[in-house]
Amino acid sequence: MWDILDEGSNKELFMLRNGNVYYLSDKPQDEQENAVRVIKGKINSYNILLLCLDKAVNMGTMGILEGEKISLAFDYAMDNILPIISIVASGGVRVNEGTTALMQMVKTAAAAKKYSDNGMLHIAVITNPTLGGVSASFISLADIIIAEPGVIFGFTGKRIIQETTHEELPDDFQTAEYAKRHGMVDIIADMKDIKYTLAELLRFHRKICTNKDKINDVQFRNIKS
Amino acid sequence: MMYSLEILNHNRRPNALDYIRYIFPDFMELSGDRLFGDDQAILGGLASINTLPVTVIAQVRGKNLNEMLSHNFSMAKPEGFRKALRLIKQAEKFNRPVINFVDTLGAYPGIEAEERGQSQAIANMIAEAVFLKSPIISVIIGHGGSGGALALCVANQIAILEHAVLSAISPKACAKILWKDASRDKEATVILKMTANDLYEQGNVDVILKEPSGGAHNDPRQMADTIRNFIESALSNYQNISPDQIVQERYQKYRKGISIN
Repeated sequence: MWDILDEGSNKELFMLRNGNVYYLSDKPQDEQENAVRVIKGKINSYNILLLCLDKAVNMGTMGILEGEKISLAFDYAMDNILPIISIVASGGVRVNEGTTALMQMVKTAAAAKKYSDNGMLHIAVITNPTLGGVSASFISLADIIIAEPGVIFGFTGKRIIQETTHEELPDDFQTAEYAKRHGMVDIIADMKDIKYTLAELLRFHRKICTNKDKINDVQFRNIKS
Repeated sequence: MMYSLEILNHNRRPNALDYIRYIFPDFMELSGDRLFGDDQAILGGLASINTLPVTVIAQVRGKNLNEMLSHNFSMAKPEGFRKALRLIKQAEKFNRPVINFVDTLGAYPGIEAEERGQSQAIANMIAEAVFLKSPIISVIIGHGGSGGALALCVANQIAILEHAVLSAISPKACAKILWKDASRDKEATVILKMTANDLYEQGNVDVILKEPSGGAHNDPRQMADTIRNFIESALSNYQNISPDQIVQERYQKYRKGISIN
């Protein structure tokens, strides 16, 4: 995921705690384990905020801390006029954290919609697999959805569908190609071509990437979370 | 208050249609998502409460096999969520409050649902509901199954019946994942923090509505009166509040700090 950023321009942001309030900072100390990584960087000199959901940590599931960090990233990107590139792989909501983890779908969708309504650009990059509560919240609200070839992108896992409906599933069920054919994905691109694809998309949106006056509707900007 | 899975799963437990018939005798159903079809797992329509017009959205769990089949076991496909979204946007246009009844095993897991964008339908409904300019009042009356329930749980005020639940996964599925044994669903409910008491303690619901002794099926009318009283008192809070304040209140509720035990 680092390869897509210009060299030497990256700064990772960490979620730190002050009492009951969390905030993003570039000081790495004391961050609790989190499947979300947020990196401020450049792609072809365009400033962006990279939001990664890393399946190496708890299968990339979205727990309570992950939901908060994703939402803070959208706030941060809005306040700093940065397009968000989210690169995700996730099994969905982290069910063993209970219903409060489920509620992170609402939290992240709320943050992503506020960001979007303020005229900001969100590009999602789907890697393998992306399912459940992550598909069905901030990711599906992205302006442009890119998927790697062959990756699984859907809502309900294949096994549960089979056990519930006993239907025979198509061979390419829920693959990127299947999702694109059914209108859920804009572009399929290899990881090696992703940087070029993102750079082109950023070029088309360069006004948003560089012009701070673009943001005029700030009615929700200063709500404390 | 003791949570009971038996009461929740009782075959005479009242469903949304029972409550709607009693609370909203003038309910008029509106159908279709204007895109694909009309999903019977989520019904919607117009009604009035004390002469105030409202939009009612209800997930319907059948009580016998025929009803279960015709409402697809309460599991909505994308067209169900898109119908609900169409109707709540209509409510916003005409300044009507929205009343949701939540009762679903979950969003429908199936090929057609995936092909028509289950993720997108749920995500969109959630996002639009957070920013809806009409007040939304939700009552979880039975099963609150995962993302499918969540889309109707985005509200200014959420109540849950004493024996109802809201969970990220069904207790049986959870038990299967954790212990490979679906019969340990009672233990799973503890981990999932899905009972009315858990949800109240964690701030995920605002009110617990007490059920008649032995469960709602023992006295559906009394239960309906309790629900009606809750809806009336919740709505009275929003009479003199501006649309922007309604949105801000709801937005802040879902963005508020996190408590981790």
